[in-house]
Amino acid sequence: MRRNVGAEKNTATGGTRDREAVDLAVILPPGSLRKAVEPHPAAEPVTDALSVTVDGVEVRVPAGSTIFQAAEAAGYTPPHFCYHRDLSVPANCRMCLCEVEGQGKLQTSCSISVADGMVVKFDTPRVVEAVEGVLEFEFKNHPLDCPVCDQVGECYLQRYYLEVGKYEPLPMNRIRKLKVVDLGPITMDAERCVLCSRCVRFGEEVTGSADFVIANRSDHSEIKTFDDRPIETDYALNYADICPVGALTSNDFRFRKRVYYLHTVKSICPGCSTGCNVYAEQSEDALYRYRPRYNDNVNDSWMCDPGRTSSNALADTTDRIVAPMARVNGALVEVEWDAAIAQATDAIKRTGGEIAVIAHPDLSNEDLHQLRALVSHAGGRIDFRVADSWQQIDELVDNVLIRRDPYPNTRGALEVLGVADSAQSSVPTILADVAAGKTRGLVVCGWDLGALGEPGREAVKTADWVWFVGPRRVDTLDHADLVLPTAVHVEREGTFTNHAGRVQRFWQSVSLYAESRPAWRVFGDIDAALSGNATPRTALEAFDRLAAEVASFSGLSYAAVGDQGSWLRGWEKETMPPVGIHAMPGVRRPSPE
Amino acid sequence: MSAPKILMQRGLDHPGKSHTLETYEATGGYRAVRKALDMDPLAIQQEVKTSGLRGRGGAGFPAGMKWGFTPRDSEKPKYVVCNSDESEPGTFKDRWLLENDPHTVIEGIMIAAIAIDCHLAFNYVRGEYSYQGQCFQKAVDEAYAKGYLGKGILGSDYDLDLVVHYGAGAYIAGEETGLLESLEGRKAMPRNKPPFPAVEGLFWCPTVINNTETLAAVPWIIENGGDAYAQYGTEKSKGTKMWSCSGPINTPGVYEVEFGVEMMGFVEEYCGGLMEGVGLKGIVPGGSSVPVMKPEQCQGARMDYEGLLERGSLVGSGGFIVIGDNVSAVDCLLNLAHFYAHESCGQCTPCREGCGWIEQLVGEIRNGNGRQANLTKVLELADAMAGKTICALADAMAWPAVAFIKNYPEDFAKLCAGGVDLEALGEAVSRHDHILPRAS
Ligand SMILES: Cc1cc2nc3c(=O)[nH]c(=O)nc-3n(C[C@H](O)[C@H](O)[C@H](O)COP(=O)(O)O)c2cc1C
Ligand code: SF4
Ligand code: SF4
Ligand code: SF4
Ligand code: FES
Repeated sequence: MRRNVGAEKNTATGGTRDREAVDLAVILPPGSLRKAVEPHPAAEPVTDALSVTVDGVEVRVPAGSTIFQAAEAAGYTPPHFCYHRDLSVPANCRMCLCEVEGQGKLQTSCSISVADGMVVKFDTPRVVEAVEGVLEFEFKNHPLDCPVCDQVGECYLQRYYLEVGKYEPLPMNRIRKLKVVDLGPITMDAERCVLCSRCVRFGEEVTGSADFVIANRSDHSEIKTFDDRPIETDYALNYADICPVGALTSNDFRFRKRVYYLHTVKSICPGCSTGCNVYAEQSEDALYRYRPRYNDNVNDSWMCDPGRTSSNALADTTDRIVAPMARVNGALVEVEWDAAIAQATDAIKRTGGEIAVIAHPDLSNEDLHQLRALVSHAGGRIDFRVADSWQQIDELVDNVLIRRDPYPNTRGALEVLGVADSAQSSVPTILADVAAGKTRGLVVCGWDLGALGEPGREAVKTADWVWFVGPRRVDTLDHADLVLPTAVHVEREGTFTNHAGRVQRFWQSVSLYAESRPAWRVFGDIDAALSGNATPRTALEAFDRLAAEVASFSGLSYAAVGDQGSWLRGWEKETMPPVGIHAMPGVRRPSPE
Repeated sequence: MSAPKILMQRGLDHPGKSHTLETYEATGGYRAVRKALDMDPLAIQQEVKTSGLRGRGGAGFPAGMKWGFTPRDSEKPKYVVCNSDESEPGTFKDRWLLENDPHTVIEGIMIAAIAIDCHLAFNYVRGEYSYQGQCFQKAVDEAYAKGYLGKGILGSDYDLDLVVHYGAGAYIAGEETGLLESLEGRKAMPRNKPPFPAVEGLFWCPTVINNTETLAAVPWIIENGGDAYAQYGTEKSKGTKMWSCSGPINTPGVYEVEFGVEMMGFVEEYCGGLMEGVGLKGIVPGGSSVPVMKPEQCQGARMDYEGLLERGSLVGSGGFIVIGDNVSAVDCLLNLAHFYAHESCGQCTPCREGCGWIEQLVGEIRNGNGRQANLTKVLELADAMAGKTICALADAMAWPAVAFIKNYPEDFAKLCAGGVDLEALGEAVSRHDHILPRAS
């Protein structure tokens, strides 16, 4: 539905067609553009829509929309520094100017609400000249830092300058400010700051930590933290994202990679049951960072620091299991996958009777469904509720995003494994039955012995056989007869279901590590050998089977889930409140007028 | 020239005593507010509308109309704020009122409050006006002691409190929404408008904010009727105006005259003419923010909203600055640029960077290091600033910058290294002088 107004036009006014993903086409030679450039989620059709014409393109937008939003609906994102879709609108950068028919003065599109029949123009010499002028002011006291600045490639200043810069030398007597200030998670460079106040507003409106202030006034205005304190919020790295320039950069990421070498795919943070939408970015098959990806129903534009830096742990392969292993003469030796699957199938057949499966809430919906199919054909019991965090699946740790349940797919596991109705975990009884010899085979997914506790320690000793399925070496391996290495989520495709019942897709970012395989395939292969049902060929096929067999997933498909997710059946919600303290009662959030 | 004294009569008649409640009451004080208490609030607003009273803080917006914009039925409380932040270079009329007739200001605030059903009012006094603030506070204390303020004012069942609040020393806190931010306890950073204060002002509640002089005229209007006030002045500029006059004149000071007097006659009759040996270089009639007028523009100029606009300037805040021919326009502009570069709140990109840049460019000229390119750049910057920011401070820098260069190119040329091609400069001026206020 988005119409492209045309590249010439964008060049003329310094705008870009995409809001969050920086349009690097202007900075880089063709072909090196690797950022995810995606349209915004299509607006719901609205009944009380107003008609607005932006540079000749007529669009209908809901009442209360700003000119900026109408322009985006018309396919054009005005140049901007201060505007951010999830923050209040100060209209202080003056970059998004436009002409509104019937009004003499230029207007800031981010702060003016549309009226029915409004005719707006960005594509006029007057607007272009004004934007050029504003941009020139930004450079008056900006250092010539690009070669040593980590923002290069995703810097709004750089991009706009390339488009509407005046290319005239400026005086060199610049005002000097603080540089390279270590604020803990963030390095601050006050000279590069364009004083858009995004960071100030984020601290006030989202986290409530009010970390940044703008000190002094006029051209001596300077960004700093209150009382020069380090930043302590769990959301500090969002500052690096929202800062449109290189004034705030992430100590976790800075100088590790020029961003234009990164390849971006959409993913989901596996850090907790919130399931923040992210971009996963890799270079030469190594994961470098997550960046939050907008999702109105989940995380808005934000994510937490522990979640973000969990990409480093994912990228770390030192404790990864390289290949399938079987115990031979008391020692684990590497075997081929075919042999491992055959051994597994044999073990089930030989044992007869029930098997015990302790699943894991970081397995995807597809993995869990294949595992459930396997258990139903082998006969046995399955549960995943080793820790009681599943009971706090909805509970926020703070007023922002982090939830007490540290797993990405607890909701999915509850639904897919069909244990959602039972108030109590059956893990202790399952393990006790193994320890008592009532159940003879035990499958442990991912958990270490510490997590399984005393019943687990007993069970792994008494069971006839123990398999371990998971990506990393843990002490459970010491008792395993068979070890089946699986992929972490960034190495394959799949879906997680977040605490609120939103089914969300993630895509493959890096290659499978060594011999590891997606868990759905491992379980599918064993199940195929047992039941004769073919293994799904793709994650998509695995998901379709899930949708066909589990009621709350019925009607869902990868296409329907898309990159913004879908509610589970029976979990549909109208709207989700904005993320952050400004959603709390009594917190003022000035609305655009 | 006739000399009606609506605002200054008491001060002139009772020097040294006019500020006391005793004098105020003896000369008819607090009669208008008693009358207002018996009036329908809408009738008060109508009377002020009839008077044609326009804001004296700079923008000249009709006061009655502004009051009428506050919602009649509001869930939220409504506020009246008197703007005594007077910090515009050249303007010192509110200061005279606070010192000499504070009770008129209080009574004006009371009537405005009654007219919009407000029960808590503020006077925001410029931080540096500590003496004037004390004068006003003393008057407020007197009024409270007599039960004129507080619970059940003047024996009625109408409650009204008045709080005196001092600024912390920022010109921008005089801009109405900057003032509101400051009053709320934040940095004085002007807000985007709309919403206008009448709808969402102090603490996001409906607020009437008026200049001290505007409010001081209200008691007279209520007592004598809007029509009586409208008798004074010209067709579109009603009433009287206080001009604070400075410069190389024989009798600098504050003078109240009807709108519409002729400018050079005013200089002679009120300002006592220019000092001996000094010729007229120009006049900045409305405070430092308005464009400077050359002698030929001043000659025959009517001192009212329309008359000054016709001559390319503005009434502004009534800071009447006479410039003698013994000063250079370069120094004038440098002085102003220094002021605005210091006082910009720093929110808007063009104003934040532009004011300091202009100061730098003019400073180079002043020091003999500037060239013609400095002048063209100043003009360009002024154009890039005017009308593109949240408040009018950017225009207040841009207008004088263009006007001084336009009116006194020779002064700048004299100091520019490498000389100036006046014709080319003239062309540059004509490219950018469209930003100056003009009669449409
Ligand atoms: C930069 C700037 C400074 C201002 N300073 C003052 C001031 O000191 N006092 C004042 O009354 N108005 C000042 N104003 C005008 C106010 O914004 C506002 O228009 C006025 O207080 C409204 O009152 P009035 O309608 O009675 O004039 C200033 C405006 C600007 C843009
Ligand atoms: S540090 Fe960055 S986000 Fe903060 S005001 Fe400066 S440019 Fe904006
Ligand atoms: S809140 Fe949870 S899902 Fe979101 S980024 Fe943090 S750990 Fe990841
Ligand atoms: S124009 Fe200047 S003073 Fe006014 S809000 Fe913008 S930066 Fe502040
Ligand atoms: S984006 Fe509109 S003024 Fe900054």
